[in-house]
Amino acid sequence: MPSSGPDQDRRPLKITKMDDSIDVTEATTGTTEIPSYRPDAKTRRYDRQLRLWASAGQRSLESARVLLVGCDATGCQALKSLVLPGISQFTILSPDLTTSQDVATNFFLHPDSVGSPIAEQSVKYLKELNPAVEGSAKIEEPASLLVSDPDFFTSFTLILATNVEPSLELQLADLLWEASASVGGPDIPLITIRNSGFIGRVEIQLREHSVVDTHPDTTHTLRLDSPFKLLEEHARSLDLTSMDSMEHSHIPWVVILVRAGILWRDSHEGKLPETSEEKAEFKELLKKEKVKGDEENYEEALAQAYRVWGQSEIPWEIKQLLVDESVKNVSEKSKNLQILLHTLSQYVATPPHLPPTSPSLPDMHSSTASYVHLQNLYKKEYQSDLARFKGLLFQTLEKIGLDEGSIADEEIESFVKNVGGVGIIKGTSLRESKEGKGLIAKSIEEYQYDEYDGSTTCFAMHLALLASERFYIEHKRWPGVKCKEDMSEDNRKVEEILKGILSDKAKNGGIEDVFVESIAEVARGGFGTLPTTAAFLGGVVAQEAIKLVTNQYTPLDNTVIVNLVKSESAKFKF
Amino acid sequence: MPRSTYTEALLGSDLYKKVRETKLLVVGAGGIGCELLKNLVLVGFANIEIIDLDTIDLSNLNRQFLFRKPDISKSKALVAAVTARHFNPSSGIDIHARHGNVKDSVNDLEWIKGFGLVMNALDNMDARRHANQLCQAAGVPLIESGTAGYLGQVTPMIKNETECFDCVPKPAPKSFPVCTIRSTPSEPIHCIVWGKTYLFNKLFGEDDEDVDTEELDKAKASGENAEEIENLKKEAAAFREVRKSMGEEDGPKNVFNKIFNEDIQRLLAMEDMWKKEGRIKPVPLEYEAIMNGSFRTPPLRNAAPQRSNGQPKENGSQQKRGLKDQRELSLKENLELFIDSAKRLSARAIAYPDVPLSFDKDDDDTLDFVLATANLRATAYGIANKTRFDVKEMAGNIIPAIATTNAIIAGLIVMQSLNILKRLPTQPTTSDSAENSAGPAIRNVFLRTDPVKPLGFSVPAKADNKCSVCRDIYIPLKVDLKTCTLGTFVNDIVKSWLSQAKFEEKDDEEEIEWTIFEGGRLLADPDFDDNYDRTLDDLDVKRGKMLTARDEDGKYRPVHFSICEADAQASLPYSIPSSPPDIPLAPSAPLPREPSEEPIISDSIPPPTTSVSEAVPISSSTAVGTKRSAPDDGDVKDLTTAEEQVSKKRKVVVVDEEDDFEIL
Repeated sequence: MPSSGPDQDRRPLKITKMDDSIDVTEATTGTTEIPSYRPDAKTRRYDRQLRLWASAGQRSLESARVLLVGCDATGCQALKSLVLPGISQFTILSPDLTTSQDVATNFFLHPDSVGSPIAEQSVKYLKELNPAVEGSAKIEEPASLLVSDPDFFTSFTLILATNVEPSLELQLADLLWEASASVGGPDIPLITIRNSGFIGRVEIQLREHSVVDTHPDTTHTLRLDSPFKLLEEHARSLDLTSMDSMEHSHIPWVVILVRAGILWRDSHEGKLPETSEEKAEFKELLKKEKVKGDEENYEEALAQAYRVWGQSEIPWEIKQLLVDESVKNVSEKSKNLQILLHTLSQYVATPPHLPPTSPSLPDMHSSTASYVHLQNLYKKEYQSDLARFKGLLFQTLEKIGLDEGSIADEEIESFVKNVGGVGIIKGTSLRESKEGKGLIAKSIEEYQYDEYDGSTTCFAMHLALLASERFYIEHKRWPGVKCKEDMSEDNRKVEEILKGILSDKAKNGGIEDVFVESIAEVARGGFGTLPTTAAFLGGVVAQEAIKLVTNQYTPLDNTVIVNLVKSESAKFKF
Repeated sequence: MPRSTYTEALLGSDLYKKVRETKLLVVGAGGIGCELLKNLVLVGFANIEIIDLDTIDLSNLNRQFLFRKPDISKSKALVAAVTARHFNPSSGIDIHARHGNVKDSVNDLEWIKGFGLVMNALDNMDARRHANQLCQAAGVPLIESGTAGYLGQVTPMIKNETECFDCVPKPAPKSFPVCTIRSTPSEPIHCIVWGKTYLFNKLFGEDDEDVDTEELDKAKASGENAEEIENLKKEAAAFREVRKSMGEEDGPKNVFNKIFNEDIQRLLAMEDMWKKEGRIKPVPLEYEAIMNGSFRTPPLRNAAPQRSNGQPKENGSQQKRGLKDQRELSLKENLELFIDSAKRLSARAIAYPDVPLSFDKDDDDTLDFVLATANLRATAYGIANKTRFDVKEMAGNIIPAIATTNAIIAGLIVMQSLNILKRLPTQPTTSDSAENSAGPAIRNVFLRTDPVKPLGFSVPAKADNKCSVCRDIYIPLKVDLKTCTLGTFVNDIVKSWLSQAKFEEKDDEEEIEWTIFEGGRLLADPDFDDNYDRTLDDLDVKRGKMLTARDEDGKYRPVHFSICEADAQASLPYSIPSSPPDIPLAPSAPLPREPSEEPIISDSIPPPTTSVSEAVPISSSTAVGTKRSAPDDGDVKDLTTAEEQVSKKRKVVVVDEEDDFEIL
């Protein structure tokens, strides 16, 4: 094994800053001209992720500016996973100098870094990961910067705070929460991380976050219960008796069910099956239609029959959004999503009171011809629904003083295709949950310990972390760290604080063992960072940051605890 | 300097000692591998071997952070090791990097036994299976993992305790009927599969006439149009002629005329074929007419309705995004690209006549060719064209891959590895002692996009008693292949040594008759001893392979002899353990992977079986020819949905880029 010393000249050449100006297509294929159909080097570099969040997501990412407050292994791991996919810029804010312990846990430091500002050193190594990303170090005390230059913080797209002092964490959260209070004010998500050994916690504070595409499991509003005209005509036109067995076994299940629904309605005064007897009878009728026992399309139809009596309504979550004040009353300052939702509520206010039809069909057993025919029916209906939606949207836009082009066609289409796949998340302030108010107060009240449920252990860990943070605010140090006496003295104090948080529940003096154990485990970790925990948490944090920045996929809302001793995790909304 | 005091304190000195001393194997230095290597050195693992056969590509750099742009085309394993070592120069870490395949013959049973723990960080089913079998044979704990977009999982696999990789059935590959691909395509994917697996190989790849004929005969036997099959046979023969002329000046143009004009004309002559419902006649393409713009493009078979404002449906919005590969090419551009890419490939074929070309999604010449061919064919058949971006994904079975998921999964792998290490005895002892030592629970971990429960942990299932990989018996056989004959193996090892084993429920009178296989080849059975005088080397039984002894009645578990390097000091040409193991009964149901019963006497090695292990959950349902997935806009959304369904079923999500479509 080559023993590499810490001397600078051993650093391989490739680690040094590289020149990104040479396009790699030239280097690998030897042609000097890149044909127009070939992607450039940037697209090729990002190819695998573009297939996940598409160019819209990539654009958002490439304009994101991320601030990391505190500079530990977890924070740098998170930044690594944001620099690689290509955010615009990152800044690390820390006044500290690198210690040898930092080098031991943080991959993005070198033994030579010891003694130099850690922010500067980490930026240097992180920047090497992607030449397209800008990075800078701010070597200042965050607490004083919060006072002297609050605008510095609000200039970012997103802020990460890893293992910073509890009081600083709260001040930062307060600043961002207040900034977002006014209409049109910056709503900057704050992701805070607290970590001690095998225990980790991620909290996300934001006031309101819109998700333009949640990528839901099913986007298919198939309208089986209330087929549109073309679909109904098609289903009625089928003559099962004249079909050969091949043809019969290749009717798409959608058509089978639509047809069965229509026939049922015809003979039941326009109603679909409602009682369980009727539903069973409906399925029996379907079974009788089979000409052979093993017709796969009929098996699929039977499995999907419940969709006939399920209604093609707007999903419940979306309905909740429609009654929100920000959607009911839109103005030129409203977000695009709010205007689109506003239009949707107008759209469903008129008959047939149904959301727009989706143009895509799920997989099904079918011949190509009948599948394509069916698909064209849905596509046609989608096009006409889209036209009607756009008409309403343009009226709304005009009313609030915006022109027709202010929402891109692409965005309108993706919204209409994917009505169930949007979301608005309303957050709570970090201070509220840390002070035991609001939702967390309710959780504490309802708390019931069940030893088989990992989430109660995780909840106990969260309270242990909260109590430790209060201990820190009081003693200016973590429990069990740098104390002369026995650790148990500190643990006892933390137990007292935790008892205060539990208040009524712990009035008989003692607290349950699970809390005592959680406090001991948290203290055992010494509020230090284990490389594996850092790798894991860093990944989780970056994952959430990407969701928040791209407005795609539903982010964690709002607290996640992981207990890697027991391989447990739980998510809470506080 | 005390670099690891914190980690040591937290892990405890016993565990930390194991961390420092356990020899680890990491298979794969890609997305997960890079993250894993970083975590391992930071935690303090000091003895790591990492193997990967791949080289670095630009599209790796968005997540495989140990690589930089100047590293492109270098060995992944070697560069990863250098970078990781560089960042941890003072902690006495030994990383042994190898640029090679885990399936290489040197990687035999003895080799894998040298490791305390194996971690898979792979992207294909074939290598996963291989590593799994090696670990099962050697009784070495394995941690299997995979990611797909935002999804991922970690699955520890411990012999005699948890299920192994092969205990869980894998989804069937996406497959298409041969006539759909070769004569009557109706979807873009049919044209892409044709360009990639058929035409490409006919013109530039390894062209095996026998394989082709066999495929067609099989199709005919399974009920496909006999006339069409005969026609396809003629077509294939004609290709062999055309291939010879590829290098000539007009070669690519002539090929174009043959494929897109003459062959289509001939298909059109088969009137019956076009009478079937849903079939639309193709239109022959004309070279000159396309070039001078006078060619009339046939209408799309399922044309999307026009927009209400009368504008044609275009990719305008995508064009504005500036992503060149998301623009649709015109017919003329496709034709020019066809000619150009065919010339480039021909030049390569002429320069290296002994190296057959193969499709690689990251090889631009091959991707250009498949893109152009697929689109030309689609045009002739009235099927929508696809962009380069889409063709790359569809032809290359591309799985979205991002840094974050890999980071999370790699963190979890190391957590699980610590749990496994805690259970291992401090002193190396027999393999079954792991069972006795109570340790922390090992867990399967699933990463999902479910906002309510993003991380799922589950207790690993027990091994499936019917599994033909982890429940079989494995014996290391150190043997001099040049001197040991098959007869020696059968008589000395199987008949005398193995027969002394304790067989479950065996009557004293019962005489066991043995059949000997290597992979799918039958080498000997009680009535077939033609190969007895031949040496194992002569029979192409190589190091790393296995000789399998099965009793004729299938009553007992098969016994696999893993061929290892000969022991230089041994007096006999072979050495085996002193006493044979106990042989349990086979499970009642037939073993799933029964090799063919075809005796092989010739010297020739059987053709490699086509990979059937596509696990890309493009369609999570077992796809047969009549299953259609929505050919909407090639939306990645559908893909993600399918994957989620797979992962929700708790079954292994395996991420596989290397595997191919199967044509039935």
